[in-house]
Amino acid sequence: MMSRAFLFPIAVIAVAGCLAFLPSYLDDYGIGIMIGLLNAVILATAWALFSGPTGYISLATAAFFGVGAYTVAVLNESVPYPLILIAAAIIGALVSLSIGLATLRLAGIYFVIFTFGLSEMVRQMITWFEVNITGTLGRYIFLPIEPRHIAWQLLGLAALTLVVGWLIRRSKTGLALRVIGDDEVVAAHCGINIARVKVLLFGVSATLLTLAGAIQAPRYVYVEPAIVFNPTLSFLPVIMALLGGARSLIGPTLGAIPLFLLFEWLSASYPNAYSILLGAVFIVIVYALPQGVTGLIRRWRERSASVVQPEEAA
Amino acid sequence: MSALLTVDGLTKRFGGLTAVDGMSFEVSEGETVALLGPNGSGKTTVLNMISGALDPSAGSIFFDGERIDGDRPHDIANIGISRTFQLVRILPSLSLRENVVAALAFGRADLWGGEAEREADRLLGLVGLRSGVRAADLTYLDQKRLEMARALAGRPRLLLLDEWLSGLNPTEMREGIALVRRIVDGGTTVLLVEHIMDAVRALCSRSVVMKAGTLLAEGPTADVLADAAVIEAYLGDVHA
Ligand SMILES: Nc1ncnc2c1ncn2[C@@H]1O[C@H](COP(=O)(O)OP(=O)(O)OP(=O)(O)O)[C@@H](O)[C@H]1O
Ligand SMILES: [Mg+2]
Repeated sequence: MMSRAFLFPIAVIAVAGCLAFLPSYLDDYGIGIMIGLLNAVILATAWALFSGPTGYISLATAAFFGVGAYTVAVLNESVPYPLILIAAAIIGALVSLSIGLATLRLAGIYFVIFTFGLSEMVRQMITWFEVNITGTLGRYIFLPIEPRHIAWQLLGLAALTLVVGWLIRRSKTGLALRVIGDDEVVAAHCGINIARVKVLLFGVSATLLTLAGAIQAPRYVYVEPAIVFNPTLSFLPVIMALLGGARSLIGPTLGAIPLFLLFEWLSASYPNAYSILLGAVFIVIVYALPQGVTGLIRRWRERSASVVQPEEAA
Repeated sequence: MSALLTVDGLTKRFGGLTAVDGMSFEVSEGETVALLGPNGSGKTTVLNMISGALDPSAGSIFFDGERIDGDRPHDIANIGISRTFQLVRILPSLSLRENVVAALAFGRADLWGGEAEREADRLLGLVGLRSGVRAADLTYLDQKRLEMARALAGRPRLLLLDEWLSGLNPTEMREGIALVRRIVDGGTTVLLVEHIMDAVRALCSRSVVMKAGTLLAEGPTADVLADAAVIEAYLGDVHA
């Protein structure tokens, strides 16, 4: 019983432990792919921690990623690296708290548009601040961090994200999120403090997204708002999580891996048509697999299970 | 006897429409009271204000001596007021057990883990359901049972039922009435909205009647149902 219950985190740590050998053997191109894959897995999984069970589609991922990267850009010359990461996590949590509180009363499409608008606003604010106050739009990051170091850190963050997701699912808060996703009125009458649960989980998700941006910042060398607040970063995790199944813990990973490889190939082969193809893939996924691949598997399992049910129920 | 629930001058306006207009009544501990009235007279709106789903436009609600009008629904659930919904609301993507555990975990019971699962199964058994099925696959009657199990999981001191007995066939109705009676015998106070007068007579010693948002009559159920004004209000409703 005990060992089965802990199978998931043990498996995650074991897989991460095996993958930790890879960066030492891969060439630069291979490490680049590994970083891209891990980034996709982290963004999709962390995004789905909040948006999966509740059904609130957030388009603020780029804001958190950018805040993480920018924190590193600003602090990299004055503060030791581990402290920069902690600072990034704290700033990400604070930004998410304000976005979370600002969007608390919004649902459906209004929430989607508002999170997108707010993340654009964060970008504009940082641009304005840099131009008018500090007088430096772009910043350089000179840290003695190699790509393989980034791959290792991302591996750790991916494992952390999956284990945090596993812990949440087992917790009361995990149930609260699913109840909220089904019916907020019922949730409130069950005694769930909806505002608190939503802001808390939005914050956990956003902190992980911020860390992803912070860890990858040294790769850019030169950072400016247009680069690290790239709106595509807000859309990709949504598509990936929806493909794999945003309500399942492993679903976003299952969606992230093939889609990252597909987009990588598309952007290399058809750089001009890339955005159009991206949109087309998005539409196909939403129409063909509204519950994602894991939802498809679940439905298929239920159908085969319901064959036995009638006699059992009689 | 002191009142468990006191509603005083309760009013709710939706834009230009005054759905509830200065309603005042009391429910004593241990009582089963019916809230009656023709369609659209404001009964559900009253329950919505007591349970915190809607904020009153005016007036006050006291529960066990504490003023609760305008409090958040999750706080009201946690002081011991549970409800069912006129249009059944279950949690379709959750299992039956999870539907009930939701109220056990976040309400007054404050149970989690194996303890919550056992209690959920006991409550499901009490209303005549088995765990293991998905909530979305239930019949209408079973959905109503599930709602009752979830409401009971809130360990209510006051249970608000909005036409919970409607839509049942005669056998189910007898079972339903017996279940409500068992809940009342367990010490829970019940305020129920109902159109089926046989059920009201069987369960409620006292009735409160609304018409167009206002209090039309109040008193022992037999007297109230014989009241000429009440009969007229209901007869008028036949044409609506
Ligand atoms: N959220 C709302 N917004 C606007 N009007 C509302 C709202 N809820 C109820 N009403 C109106 O308030 C009035 C009272 O409605 P309510 O549902 O309380 O009546 P009721 O007595 O429960 O009726 P029924 O027996 O049909 O359930 C109706 O005219 C209804 O249309
Ligand atoms: Mg009603």
